[in-house]
Amino acid sequence: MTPLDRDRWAELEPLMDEVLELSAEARGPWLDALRGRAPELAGLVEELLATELGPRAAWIEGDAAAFFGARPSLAGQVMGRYTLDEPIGQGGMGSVWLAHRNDGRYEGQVAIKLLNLGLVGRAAEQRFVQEGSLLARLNHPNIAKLVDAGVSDAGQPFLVLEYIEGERLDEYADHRRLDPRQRIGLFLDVLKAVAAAHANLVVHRDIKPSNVMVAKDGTVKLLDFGIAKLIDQGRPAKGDGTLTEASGRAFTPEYAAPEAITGEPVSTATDIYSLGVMLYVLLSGRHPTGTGADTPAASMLAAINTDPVRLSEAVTPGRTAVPDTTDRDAAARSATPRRLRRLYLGDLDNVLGRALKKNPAERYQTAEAFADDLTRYLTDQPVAARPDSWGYRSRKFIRRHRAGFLAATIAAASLIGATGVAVQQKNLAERQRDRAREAARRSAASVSFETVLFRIMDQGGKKFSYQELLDRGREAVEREYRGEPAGRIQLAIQFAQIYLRRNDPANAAELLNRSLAIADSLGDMEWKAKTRCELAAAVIKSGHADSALALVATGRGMLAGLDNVNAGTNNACDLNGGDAWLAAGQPDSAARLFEQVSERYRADADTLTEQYLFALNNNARALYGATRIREARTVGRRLVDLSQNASDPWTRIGLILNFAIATDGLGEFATSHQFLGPIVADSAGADSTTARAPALRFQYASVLDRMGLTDSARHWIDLALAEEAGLGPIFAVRAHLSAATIAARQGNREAFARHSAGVERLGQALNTKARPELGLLRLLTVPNENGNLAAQIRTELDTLGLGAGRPYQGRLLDHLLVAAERLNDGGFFADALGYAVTAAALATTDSLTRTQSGLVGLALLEQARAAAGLKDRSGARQAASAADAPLRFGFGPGHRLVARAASLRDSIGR
Amino acid sequence: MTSLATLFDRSDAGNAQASHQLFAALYDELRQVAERQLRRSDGRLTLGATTLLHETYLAISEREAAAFPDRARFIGYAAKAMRGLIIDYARARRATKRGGEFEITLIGDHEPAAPSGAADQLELVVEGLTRLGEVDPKLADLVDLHFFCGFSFVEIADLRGVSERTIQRDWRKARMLLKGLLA
Repeated sequence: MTPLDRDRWAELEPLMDEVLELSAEARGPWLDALRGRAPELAGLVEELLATELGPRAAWIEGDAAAFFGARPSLAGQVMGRYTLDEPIGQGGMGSVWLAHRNDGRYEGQVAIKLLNLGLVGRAAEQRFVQEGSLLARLNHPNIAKLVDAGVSDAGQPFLVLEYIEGERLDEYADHRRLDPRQRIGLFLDVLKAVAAAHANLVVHRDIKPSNVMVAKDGTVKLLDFGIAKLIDQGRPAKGDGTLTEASGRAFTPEYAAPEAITGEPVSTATDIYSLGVMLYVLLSGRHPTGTGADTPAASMLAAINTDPVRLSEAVTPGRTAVPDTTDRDAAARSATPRRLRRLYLGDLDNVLGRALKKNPAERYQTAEAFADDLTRYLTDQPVAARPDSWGYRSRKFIRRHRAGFLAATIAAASLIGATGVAVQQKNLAERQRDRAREAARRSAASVSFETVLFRIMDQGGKKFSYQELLDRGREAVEREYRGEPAGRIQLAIQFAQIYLRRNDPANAAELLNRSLAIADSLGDMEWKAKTRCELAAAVIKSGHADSALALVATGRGMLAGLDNVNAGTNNACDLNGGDAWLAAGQPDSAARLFEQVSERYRADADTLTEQYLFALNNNARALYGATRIREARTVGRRLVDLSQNASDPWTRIGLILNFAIATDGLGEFATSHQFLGPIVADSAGADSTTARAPALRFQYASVLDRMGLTDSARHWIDLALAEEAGLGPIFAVRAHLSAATIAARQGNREAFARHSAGVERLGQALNTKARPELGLLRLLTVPNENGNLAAQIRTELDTLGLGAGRPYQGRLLDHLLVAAERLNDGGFFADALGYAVTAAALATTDSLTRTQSGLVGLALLEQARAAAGLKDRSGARQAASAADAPLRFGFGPGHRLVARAASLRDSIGR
Repeated sequence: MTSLATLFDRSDAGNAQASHQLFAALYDELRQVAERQLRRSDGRLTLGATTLLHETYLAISEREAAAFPDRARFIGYAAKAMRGLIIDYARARRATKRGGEFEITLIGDHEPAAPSGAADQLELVVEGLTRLGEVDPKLADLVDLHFFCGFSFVEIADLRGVSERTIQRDWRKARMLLKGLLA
């Protein structure tokens, strides 16, 4: 647009403020008036307003971290019958999302909890769902209903919960300055919910303020009943037994009962303790055994070790820890500290003392008993809890549980990481950081490439281009890791991978060849093997598949002789091996290798990583390359579900695109269309430097054409071809072919000439790889001179090697269909029939089922036309009827081909 | 070393060098908190930017105690550092994306495609924001607060003591200017 500087904007801004407040109708006259007195400014205003009309730039609409791939966004992901809308919370257990039902059966929104369990296995999945359906039967007005529990197709366990809009009970009470009696009243509703659940033998195990809400209508709702147990059960057991029972427990240290912390059996009395802590905090604003600001470990130790401070003491000024907040706390309860002390002294002290007993057997045994005592307090009757219960010291308990106490300390240490609670103590954090940095400097195993890059970017806030960053990083590695060969190799490998990604195999190979020498002098077999396998990747990109195969074979051989090889090393070698097989034109061998790697990842429950996605995707790719499209589709479908784990949008788009390509190959055009639409929309906002963007556009164009949306198809092909280089030669040649086909159909000579020239130009450069496309172009254009079309087409197909099996990896079907169509058009019905029948058989082989492929439908339609031309009425009727179901499935019921088959069938008399 | 509180004061008084130092210091603080988070969460930044900012504020204010400025002033400066952090993170992350290994290769495409000639969108964004900052620093700050730090319009209106409607209008202006400047 017109250049804009600070001064010009200062003139412009007040005008923008003005025009933005105007209605659409009022803008025209306003602009006219402005044009009269300041035409240049009016032009600028118009230009700026026009930017709101174009496509919205997604990068400015959402959330930067998610957009830039720093954080994956799950919005729009499907979990069973639900679609995720937006995140509403993040906790130790996982994230919580607002979601809606996607089958239109239930209007309202639900909350979906995605559990941080990793993917669960089939056995765990069954138990999880079973257990979940038991909990779903828990029906009580004060319990937020668990609507459903499931595991997504990708293996992500989730819970569907009633969505409660409201406030946390403690915040609700504070905001309204509820007095102690009102607070106890609300708390009694919590006890009702707990009693109902206990009657159903469900223990909550994680009662805390954030789990108790007051809904908008004032109803108290207890959340997450029984979910803690569900999580423990769903947690996959590690084969090596490193996951201790205690650290696997889901609970909140500040509210956990001693027995929950020490790992002893939990019971209904465990919930009573947590309820006691909660009531204590509600009434006093303080925690019974600590300030609550400590680390989780300290909270847990205090729960076991420290006797609770008497409630009436806790609200007395000067009696408890600094800072003294008793005045403020009392004010939040519409009272003074004096008044609170008077209210709590005696009965309430005793009630809470009993609820907070260290020994579960000495607590209230039921929620009803707890509630009874509170009701008695409210109605000024004597409570059952005795004063002596408060003074009881719990030394005996601690002695008895010394072993458990130690376990707790260990558990606490691991919980700091597990619960994600930040360790606040500064010096501890600093020590940890220093240690981590030191470790990063020293240990090759933990050398982080990111660390190097961050350090470079640090230097004086200077901006570097990507290439500069890369080159400087490489220099830094050579310089700083001179004395650390292992670290240097590791970083060299990472840099080489980037060079490869930037299509610079020469630089990658150079780096790796140097590393090879270092590794060999180091004498470490694993590094030697690793470097060779990485070098293979560079060699493949330079076009030497055979050398790559040899390198991988050597590397693999070295690893085979070693014990305790890092699993990642083996996998990386095999992944490159698979690529080498693919490059060498052996897709079956590649598929086998990729499948083995995927299986290893799966066996290690390592399925959330991108390596797994990558291995599985390559498996799909190799299967497709081997014309095992049905198998490729199966793997591809799984990848679509897993794609939500991808950390950047283009990985996700690529995976879904691959599934769309596979379904396209199987004649499932409607399905392909359905999957492509959303990712085309997504891609508008995603970083478009990737070559995937034009490929996606072409694939979309191709399916739009199949769906009969020719004009849109042309639009997208043009967009794709606008970046011909990014499209890659294979996709580019196909795009030109599609464009030429459309042009021929629409009688656009100019476009046809241009695009067929494109096919020829790129096709020649690709040599044999473009034979199918060149062949198809000829089939489309063979003239029907002197009535010898049939003979010419036969010659074309012979040249392509029709008799020699299936040389074109699925493209053969296209040839047969084009041949049949052209012969039918030209009246060569007998020849057409032969090709159509072969095409139908071939399409059936390459489809999920005979009725699920639009390609089968197309072949049957040509078969019907040919039979009709040959006056074989019953044959024609049969074929036209048989075409109906596959056409409907493949293209969708509204497609013109469906109508065409029907009218053909009806036009044939008996 | 100069304390952060001093840097805030000097920076408020228009000392450019102090502003620069302050930016660097806040960037470093944010990064430390983010890196801790990264280590905890298997390499994925799961914390929202708002939380990150808040955690950082708590850490600094605890350390610097009473001398430390209020939250609103802190956020005003830290938002820009947050933009820097997220963009650097995205750059590093993209660089770290290991070689061909994680790139999802398309089915049926055995020929490596040449790198696309399309402009690098991330760098384009960086460029656009720099230019927006030159034309109207207030609008650039708004982008930092809303897009990079995740503050809602209501929160930003509170911070700036203006109406939510004004912020919404500013947001539209920022968006238009960015698009215009990059067109």
